Amino acid sequence: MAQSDIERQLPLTEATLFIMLSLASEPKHGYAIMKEVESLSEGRVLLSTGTLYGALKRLLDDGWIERTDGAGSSDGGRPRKVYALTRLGRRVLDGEVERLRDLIAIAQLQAAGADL
Amino acid sequence: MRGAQFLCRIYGVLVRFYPRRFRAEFGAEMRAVFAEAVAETTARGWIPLAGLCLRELRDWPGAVLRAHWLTLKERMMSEPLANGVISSGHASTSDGRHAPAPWQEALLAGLPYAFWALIALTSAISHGLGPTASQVGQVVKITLGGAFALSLVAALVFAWRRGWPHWSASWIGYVGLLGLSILGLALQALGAIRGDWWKWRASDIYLYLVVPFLLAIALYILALRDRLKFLLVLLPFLLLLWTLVLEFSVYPLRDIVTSVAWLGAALVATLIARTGQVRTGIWMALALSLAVGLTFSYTGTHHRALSPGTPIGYRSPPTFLDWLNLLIPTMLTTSLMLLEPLLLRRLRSFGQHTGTLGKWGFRLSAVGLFLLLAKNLVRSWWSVSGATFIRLEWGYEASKVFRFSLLEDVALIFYLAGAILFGVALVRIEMSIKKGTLLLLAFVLAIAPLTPVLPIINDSWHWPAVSQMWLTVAGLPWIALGAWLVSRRGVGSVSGAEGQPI
Repeated sequence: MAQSDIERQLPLTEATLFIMLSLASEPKHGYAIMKEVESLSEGRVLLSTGTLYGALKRLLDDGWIERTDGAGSSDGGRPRKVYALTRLGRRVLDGEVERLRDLIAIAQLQAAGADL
Repeated sequence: MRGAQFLCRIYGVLVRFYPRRFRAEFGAEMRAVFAEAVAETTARGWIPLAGLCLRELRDWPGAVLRAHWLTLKERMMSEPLANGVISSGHASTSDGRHAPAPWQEALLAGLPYAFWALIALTSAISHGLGPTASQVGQVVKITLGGAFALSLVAALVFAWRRGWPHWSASWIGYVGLLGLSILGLALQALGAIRGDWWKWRASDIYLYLVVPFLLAIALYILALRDRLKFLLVLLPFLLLLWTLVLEFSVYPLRDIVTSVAWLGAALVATLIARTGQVRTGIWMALALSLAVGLTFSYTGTHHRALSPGTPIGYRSPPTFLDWLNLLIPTMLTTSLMLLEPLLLRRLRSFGQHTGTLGKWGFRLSAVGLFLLLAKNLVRSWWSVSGATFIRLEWGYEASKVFRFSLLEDVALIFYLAGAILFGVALVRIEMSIKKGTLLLLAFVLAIAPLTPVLPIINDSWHWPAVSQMWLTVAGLPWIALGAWLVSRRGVGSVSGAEGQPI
């Protein structure tokens, strides 16, 4: 996918951004994603299971994440599904981070100008 | 511990409201994640637990709606080239044949019609036996009505638990009817309180604009998703339209023919579910409609009980033409309900598989078609409820000049533009002449019942005679041709020059 196509997908919603950020370091299962999002947003974004899996489905459909069988669950049950960023997903995330960085730079410049 | 289990059970029920496909993919995971969240939060006390539950409840309706919307979009996007591949409840083959339902399930599909046949029969018997029997008949009818309502609820719960198999569509049609009737009654009740505008105008708008549009959209979506279910949902609406023909006919004959018609519908619904064949189903539904139409319109013309001096235009004794006048328009209307969504489905399927041109061809023609439909509905509403309202708004002369012809012209331009794009798409993919001709025929048929009579109507006030002539001469061949086309195998199976599916 060309860079312009990726840029057309931006900006991401807050929930999507946090879900993708939570997968940036390593693949995670559903509950771990919920916890990580809560932790990354300092308790501000609390995902319900419905919202989480709705978002995961969209991300899977768009090819931004992929799902594989992980290790067994904590109670020794059947393997849990694990979600990971795809190469495309990582490019989208990078694009969004870049966009936010530019935005902040502009905001800081403007704010500094106002202070002067 | 027991409380946590209870919460997980409740959550399991909430998950059942997600679409089947979504549940199959994520349902188990969602339940596991929720159980894990509950287990961890319980250890922190009841306030965080209540917070978790409230959060789930707050987000649940939106999440369910979004999941349904996504699934619907997915289905429409992946609408297969071949016919009827998407099925819920039973597997289907590419030419619209579904796995035959077991007899028990097929009988469940026919059961709601059998109920109504029984209710009509009770009515006929009580009408025939005099006042005492009439009172008993009322009690039996109320009991049967109650039993039907209970069966409806039981069938819906059962169908929900079984993942909405095909037979459930028969019952869903009744839920739709019930919903529309309740809304209509609510408007009437509002009319009693708020005055005549609500009683007449709002009811007219509802009956002649809202209901047809809602039905058209619902049937089109259903025809896209599953044609077998579409047929089963449609049957009660077909019969209901025919019931209007029986107005003024005598009792108990009216009840007897109604009872036979619903029995016929029960048989057709059972056979459709049992055979699982869309093709046969289309012809069976049309045959039922014709048989019911012949009987009802004969009863409606030859066995009327008119009070002296009432309806103008009814001849006594009635003639063959009177019978035909009652039969043909309703036959065309019922057939339109059946064939139009299937024709559009064909065009859409073709449009989706012939690149950008084909897609735009379909979109433009669909806009044109809906505009024409809207215009015709407005006209019929106008003619039924009197032109006073519109004339008051725009003035008589203005309405005479306007006469919706602008809307009609715009609609035709859209439709023609769509047809041209389709034609170019056909040439570009080098489709065989035979298939191309069939598809263009579908294109013409989709618009045929809506257009030819309109320019004549616009220039003349003698529209009943003209439209009657058009309906009689062209209506029946249109039905036959349309039914042949939509039930024909392989027209939607577009292949490219190399014979590969596009």
